[in-house]
Amino acid sequence: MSAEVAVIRFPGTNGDRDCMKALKIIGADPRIVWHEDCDLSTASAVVVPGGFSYGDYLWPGRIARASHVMNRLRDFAASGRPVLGICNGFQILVEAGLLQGAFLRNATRRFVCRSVELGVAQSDLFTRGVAAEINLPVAHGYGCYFLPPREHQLALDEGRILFTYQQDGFDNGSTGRIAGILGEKRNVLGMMPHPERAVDSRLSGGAAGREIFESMIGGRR
Amino acid sequence: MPREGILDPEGAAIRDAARRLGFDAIEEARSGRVVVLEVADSAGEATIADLVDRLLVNPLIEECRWERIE
Repeated sequence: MSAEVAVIRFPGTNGDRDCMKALKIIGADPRIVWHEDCDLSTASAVVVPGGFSYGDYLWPGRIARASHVMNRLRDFAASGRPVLGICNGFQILVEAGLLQGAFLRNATRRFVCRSVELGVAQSDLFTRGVAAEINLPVAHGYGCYFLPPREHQLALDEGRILFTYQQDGFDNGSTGRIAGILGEKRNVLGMMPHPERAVDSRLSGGAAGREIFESMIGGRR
Repeated sequence: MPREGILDPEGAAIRDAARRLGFDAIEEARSGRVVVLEVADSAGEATIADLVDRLLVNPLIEECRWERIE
């Protein structure tokens, strides 16, 4: 039986279709969940895709924290099942309190849309079988992830920083060059790069993102 | 407003633009946001403070001041 994956859609989400496609490619059974529908009970994983939920009003992800689906998502995360937030989805998970930290505008003050080289740390849930260095596309203007020094050190000590931007000239100002980080229970991952845009090796983005989705749904595929 | 010491790219952009326009006296700019709420008389200060905390301000990176105007 293929793994049911809920892909949450807010007004302004735009990464949902790519996530659906990526999940179908790897043999999962994804479905779109509108943010008011809330039913995540039968899902084996949840993806919060990127975009501009609620037009980034107040600041990215902030309005989504008050959305109906959020309490269900907190319950879902508490159950230990995987939650993956991508780009604006990462921002939403931070605003919902599922991940620590805060987001600021890129230090460069420019929207950045390109492929970046990432260092990958090991996680049984999200990076099993993923190479130690991969390339994934990023596309964000508000991607400067801020983590206070104490929380940063703790995340380093606990091996929760799964993705870091490599020293290739890319710097959006994020604390410790963090591109993706796990929550304290290690089943919630927020990442700025877009794995759903790198699932087909015939296209220029490569296929490194595919392995992240495959790792996430693991044996349930 | 962004807290002291927190990166403020928007403020930096405003400062640079001001200087380009010849306002050499502008040494630094910081940029925040203003939210105006119309509130029922029955709502106490605790209600506003709670809303500020839960929706309007991120205390990790921002500081905030609010006042009630009749």
